[in-house]
Amino acid sequence: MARVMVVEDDPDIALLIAHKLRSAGHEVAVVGDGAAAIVAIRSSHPDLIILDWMLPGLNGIEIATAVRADDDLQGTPILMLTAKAQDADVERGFAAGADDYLQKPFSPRELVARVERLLARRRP
Amino acid sequence: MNLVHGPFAAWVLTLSLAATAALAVVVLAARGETARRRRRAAVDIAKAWPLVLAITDGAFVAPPADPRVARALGLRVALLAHQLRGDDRENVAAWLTRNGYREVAEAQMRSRRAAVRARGLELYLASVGSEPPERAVDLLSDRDARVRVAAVRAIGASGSTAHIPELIHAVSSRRRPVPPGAVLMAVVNAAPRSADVLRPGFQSADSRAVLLTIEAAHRLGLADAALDVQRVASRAAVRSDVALSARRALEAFGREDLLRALAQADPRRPGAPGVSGEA
Repeated sequence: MARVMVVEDDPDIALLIAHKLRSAGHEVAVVGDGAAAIVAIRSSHPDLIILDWMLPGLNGIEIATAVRADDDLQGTPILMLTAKAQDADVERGFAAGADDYLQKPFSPRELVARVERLLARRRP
Repeated sequence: MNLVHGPFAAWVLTLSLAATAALAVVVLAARGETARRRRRAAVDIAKAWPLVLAITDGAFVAPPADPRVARALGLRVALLAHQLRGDDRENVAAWLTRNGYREVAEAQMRSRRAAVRARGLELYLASVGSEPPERAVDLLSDRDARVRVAAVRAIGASGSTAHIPELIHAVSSRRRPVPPGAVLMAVVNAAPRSADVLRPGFQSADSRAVLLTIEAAHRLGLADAALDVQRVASRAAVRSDVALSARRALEAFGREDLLRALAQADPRRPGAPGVSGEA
């Protein structure tokens, strides 16, 4: 079981992701605001972060950059889940520190599979 | 003049106070009713959510007996469908179809009101899953331009490539055209894996349709479109923007051989190296 932080401002999507991850045996926390997400990530040190791009407060790119700049968090896997689908957006997401990138609309089953892969890669 | 300070003034003052009080009561009552409805809607949604999640998991879920919760459930499921792909999307579409939402959508798509037709289109799309959205094609020639654009967007978002030829063809309609930019985005969203479905676009007599087809092939990286692109650029009466777009696409596909062949055929053709400007 891993602790996953879902940073998503659409409550329907957040609920769905949380449900699917909990069904897969993970502990899930949901935050809907960029600024609050940074505080929550720093205080709870999740095993993985699922990050939307467009958020109130700080956006996903700014959060990813802040996580990568933090010595205690820089190894935390980040999966970006966003409607931004241009090649340049994907490049920007990876450049900011995302480990994986999934576009909306998305398959929750694929999302869970990618989360498992990222978590497995992280384990020694 | 005495009226200002006399019984009339008192009467006017009383009337004003009464009117203000009545208005305040109406405003407070309206606010109270709005808040009550919101609370009730929140309760309905909270009751519907576990069912929504069960539906995405593929579980059998009967529509709730409470009509308000049933309505909240249908709305949540229909909205969520547009955010999903894969098995969850199929489960949601199957539930909507099984429970009569597709019939409702198709009836709405025949409404006299454009806003209702557009709403019906969204619901219809939620209920078809990965099936080609046949009925949405009818709305590509809708009398309302907003509905036509909604149909273009919906077909692209469906992920089905079966109706790409109709999408491209809709650009060329004389009476009820759709914007080429909207069609380009829809084709890119539908993301065909081969250029086969784009062939009717390359063969179109309408330069706008040809241009958007080249742009789509370019953006999607469909290198198997290279020969079609070269043929278009080789036409005698090719427009300069089409020729330039074709050249960029061939460069992106890495087809130096086709670019050289183009330049040799007519070095003064728009889009050839060193040749720019309008046709």
